[in-house]
Amino acid sequence: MSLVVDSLSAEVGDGRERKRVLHDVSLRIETGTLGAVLGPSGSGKSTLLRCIAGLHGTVSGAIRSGSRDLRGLPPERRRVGLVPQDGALFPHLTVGENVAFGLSKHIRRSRRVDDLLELVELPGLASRYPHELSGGQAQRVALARALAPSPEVVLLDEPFSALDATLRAAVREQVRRALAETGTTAILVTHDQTEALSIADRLIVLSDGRVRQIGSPQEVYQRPVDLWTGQFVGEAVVLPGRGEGSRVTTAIGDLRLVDPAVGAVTVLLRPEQVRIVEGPGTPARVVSVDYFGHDALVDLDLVADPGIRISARLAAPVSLREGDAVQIRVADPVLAFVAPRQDP
Amino acid sequence: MVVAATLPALVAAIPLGYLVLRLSQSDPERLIASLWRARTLELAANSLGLSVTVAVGCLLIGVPTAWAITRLKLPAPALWRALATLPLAIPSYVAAFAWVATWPGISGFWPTAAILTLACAPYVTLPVAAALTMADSRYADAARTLGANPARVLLRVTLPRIAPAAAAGALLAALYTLADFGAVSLLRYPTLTWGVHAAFEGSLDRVLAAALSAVLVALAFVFVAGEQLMRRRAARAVAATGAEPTLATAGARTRAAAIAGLVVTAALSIGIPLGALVIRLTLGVDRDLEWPRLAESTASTLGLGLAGAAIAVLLALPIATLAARYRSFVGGILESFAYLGHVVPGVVVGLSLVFFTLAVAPALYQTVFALVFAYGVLFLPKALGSSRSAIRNVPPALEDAARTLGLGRLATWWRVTARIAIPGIAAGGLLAAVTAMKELPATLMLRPIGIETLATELWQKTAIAAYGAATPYAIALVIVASIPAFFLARSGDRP
Amino acid sequence: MRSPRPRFLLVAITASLILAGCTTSPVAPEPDDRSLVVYSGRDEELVGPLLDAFEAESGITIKVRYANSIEMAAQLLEEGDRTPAQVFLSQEPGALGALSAEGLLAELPDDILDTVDPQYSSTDGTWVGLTGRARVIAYDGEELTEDEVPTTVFDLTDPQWRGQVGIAPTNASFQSFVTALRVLEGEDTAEAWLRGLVANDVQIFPRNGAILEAVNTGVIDVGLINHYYWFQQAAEVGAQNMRAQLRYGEPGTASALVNVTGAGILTPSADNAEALEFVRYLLSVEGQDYFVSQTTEYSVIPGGPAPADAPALDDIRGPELDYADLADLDGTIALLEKVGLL
Repeated sequence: MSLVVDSLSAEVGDGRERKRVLHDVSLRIETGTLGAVLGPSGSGKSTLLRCIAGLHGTVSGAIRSGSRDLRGLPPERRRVGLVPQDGALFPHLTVGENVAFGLSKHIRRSRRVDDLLELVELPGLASRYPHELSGGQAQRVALARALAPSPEVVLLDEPFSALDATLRAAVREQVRRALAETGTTAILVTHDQTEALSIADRLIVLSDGRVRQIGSPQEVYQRPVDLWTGQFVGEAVVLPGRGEGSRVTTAIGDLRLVDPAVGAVTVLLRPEQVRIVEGPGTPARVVSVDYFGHDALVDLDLVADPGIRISARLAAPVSLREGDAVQIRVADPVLAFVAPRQDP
Repeated sequence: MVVAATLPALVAAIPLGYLVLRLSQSDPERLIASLWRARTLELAANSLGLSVTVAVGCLLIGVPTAWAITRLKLPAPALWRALATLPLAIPSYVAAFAWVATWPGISGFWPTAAILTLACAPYVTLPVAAALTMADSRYADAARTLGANPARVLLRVTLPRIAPAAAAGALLAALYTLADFGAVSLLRYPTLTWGVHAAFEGSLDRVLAAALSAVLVALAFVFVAGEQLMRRRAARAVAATGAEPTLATAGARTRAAAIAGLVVTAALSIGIPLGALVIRLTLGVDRDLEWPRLAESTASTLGLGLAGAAIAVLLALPIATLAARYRSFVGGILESFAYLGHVVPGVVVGLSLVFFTLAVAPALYQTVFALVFAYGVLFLPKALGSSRSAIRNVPPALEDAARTLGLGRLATWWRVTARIAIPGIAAGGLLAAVTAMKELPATLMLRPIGIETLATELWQKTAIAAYGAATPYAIALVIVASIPAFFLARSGDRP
Repeated sequence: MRSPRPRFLLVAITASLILAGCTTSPVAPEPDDRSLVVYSGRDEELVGPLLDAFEAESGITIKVRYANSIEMAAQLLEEGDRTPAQVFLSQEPGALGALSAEGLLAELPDDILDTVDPQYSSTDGTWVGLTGRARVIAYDGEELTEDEVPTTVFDLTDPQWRGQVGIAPTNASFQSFVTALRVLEGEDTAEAWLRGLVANDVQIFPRNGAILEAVNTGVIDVGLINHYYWFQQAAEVGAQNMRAQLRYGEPGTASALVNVTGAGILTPSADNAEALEFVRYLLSVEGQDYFVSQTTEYSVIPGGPAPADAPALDDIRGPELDYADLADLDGTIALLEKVGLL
């Protein structure tokens, strides 16, 4: 079922400490797709999930799953599953009993539990206890448990944050596959933009309880609606410039703009747009090299304007060292945002 | 939730309601005259001083004891835990009687405070030991890496984390002392409870008794409010659990000192009372022990105690859940109600329940049901504290998960919260059982005709100074009460 | 971690409830069964055998609950008309007086009242005396000879007894005694005596038994108690093993006061045949013989039996006093509060 959130507002706290944390949030996730809510901590993402699950009261707005209005329904009748942050497996139950928790008695006796454990690639662990599982296993059991009652929507609250980097990618892939196989609509909440970009069909950027932008990961990455979003989603190089219609003048030359702009602007470009060139370019000096194996992130200072820091993503092999002098050039087009006004 | 918790809180407030009723029926001038005299002030000061001293004493004994039994690698750990719990099984009046029998003439403030401290120390030891077992060693480890020595870690990291548990225990000890009559009267230290009894004994002066009881309740309110304030401040600290506690790698000297301390405490709190009883038993002459009678009263003590504890737990759970999950003004009030009823002297509680049963369900008056219900009302606070912390330690995320898996509020509570919190809830129940088995005043008034508990038998024998005849009942009472105390000690073994 | 504990707990709780229920399960009385509910402020050890004898003789089943007289009176006040009790046996006249004042005790028929020496019963005929017990001074037989112990309580304010006198000011017997002092010697004398005791560092005990225990262990030299406590303890450990000894008060003075225990019938059972039969039995020769021989108390029936080991009632010769005059308990309480003993 598709999930629709319409003008949702919510508050936390009691009495005088009451504070609004979600302002008119609207979003739509199509059936069988995965939406990722991305935002810094404190942006209200977890509250949004809890509102959808029915665990947190809303002030106004609507939540619909398909044609069903979820407003006023208690969590147990929403058919919305939840995978909490650290899995939250019931410590007093085995893995099998955890997965079977939301199932009715006769389904519990069927192969459903085994099927689900196979789905999350953990066959044969049914009799283990949660404390005998690794972090990644616990997360996948939590997913299996959430999927067991065949919910219309599954919510994943920072599901991979406790896992180490290598495991994270693998578990993320397993989760995506399991979700796709069951055709479940899912929303994942994360503060990790790499995770959001890699897993989501649709990205929802949240800050201070407001939706900044909704779109496909490519859209949000390539065409952020504002400077903040551009800087938050993905690595960004930011420098001042002066717009002259379809072009902008900056310290690294005269660049083509995606959208026309006039006057003082802030220019945003991605490190992969920065090239080190043999021929004519802007002179720069290497400040540091972060080597990742498949590529490297090189920080550079402009020789003419040492206040401006440029990052370049270079494909391996990289032979640059700190202090090397290079020439750089930028692959157009770039984004420009009207510079935040300076207070006098 | 609030509604579900209001009913048990109202039930627990029956003694208070009775008190208010009696006070409102009395002549206000007479009331003020009763209250406003030097003697009342003196009794109140005595009660306050004794309670504070006992609470402090219990902290001084209970916290190190808990530390020793949880953090040191002592030989026979189960033994030390049992010894630290066992004083609960000895009624304070029996302990006081034993001390007076052994050293005739001891009386007054310090002996009373010392004996009550020894009797109440487990109220602090048990929750603190549980908190130490649960306490995350990561904090202590972090502090060590930040350059703190073990003493500083104890002072700055560990103690603040166990402070809420210690405060809850000290509160129980203080309330117990406020409400105690047996020990203070045997050791001849006049307190408010003593004054209440004196008012009744002398002239059936229900106004004076109610007035003094009201002062007692006011004192208790101060204690309860203090503890709640302390808990609120502590609640701001991040609660984290999970990591295994590290056993301090203490030297042989530390362990020897700890064992010596534990042995001395056990000797004073268990050895002397039991020893004195056994000596009395061997001295008693010309008395045939009525075995069937002893067996019968033992059985009814056990049955009534357990049933009463079950009711206490049932009543405590909604309040505990509310207090643990929803920190609110109303929750605090309801919780205070539950505690305050606890310090009303036994005679007044007994009378209030006589009044209540006759007004609400006269058919049940002086049946086993009314008595078990009374135990539930009386010992609800005993079950409350440990249930509350156990429920608070259940991560709310588990409840959220259960709700999204299709379980309603109640079903979630029953299948998740209660299952995980069961060791703590059971510990509360066991504490209630131990106390119910020792209860006297309400039992005397509400027991069905023909039913005797060990406590009533003991009372009958000691009332006529037949101490030799009383002794087997005292010993049986200690043994019976040791059963839940033993399980209580074991329940602390697993984290 | 997983365990069937919750279910086990349920079973245990249910079982204990059933167990608790079984031990009581009241036998439904047959319609022609004669039975009687007695509230006894007197201890089972003291009156139990007598009740058994009455049951055997009369065929009436007695259901009795035992408790402290005063607390039981408070309970009866609370129960009011709904009390299950038909007869109340009290250790102290004060408890009976309080019930009578609230109209909870029925007037007894003349034949019962006439049996008892009128000075030992209430003036309005709502309760009768059952037995008498003499106020005595218990003393430490290892420290003192009988001659060294005064026969009047007034000597106990002498500095010689400083810190060595035990009293139980909350005890009804002691309070009756103070009332008697007030009536016989006047308010001022009574107050002066109490103040003298306080100034002499008098030792406060919760009850008579504790005083006797203290004298018996040498903690204090002398204590004011009722005579029969000594006999009770002597029965337990053997008279020859008693360190405490008794000194009886000077005949005819307040120091030789004889307190009474009594019985009353609750108002709803005013005409209850079983209740009347029971009270008559307590005052019969058989009943009085039991008290005299088994609990070493005094008979309140003119010309009744006398205990074998204790001095005869006539030799003790209590003060000339109508026991109805001892009803002013409030005045005594006020006095005790005034001097700081309550």
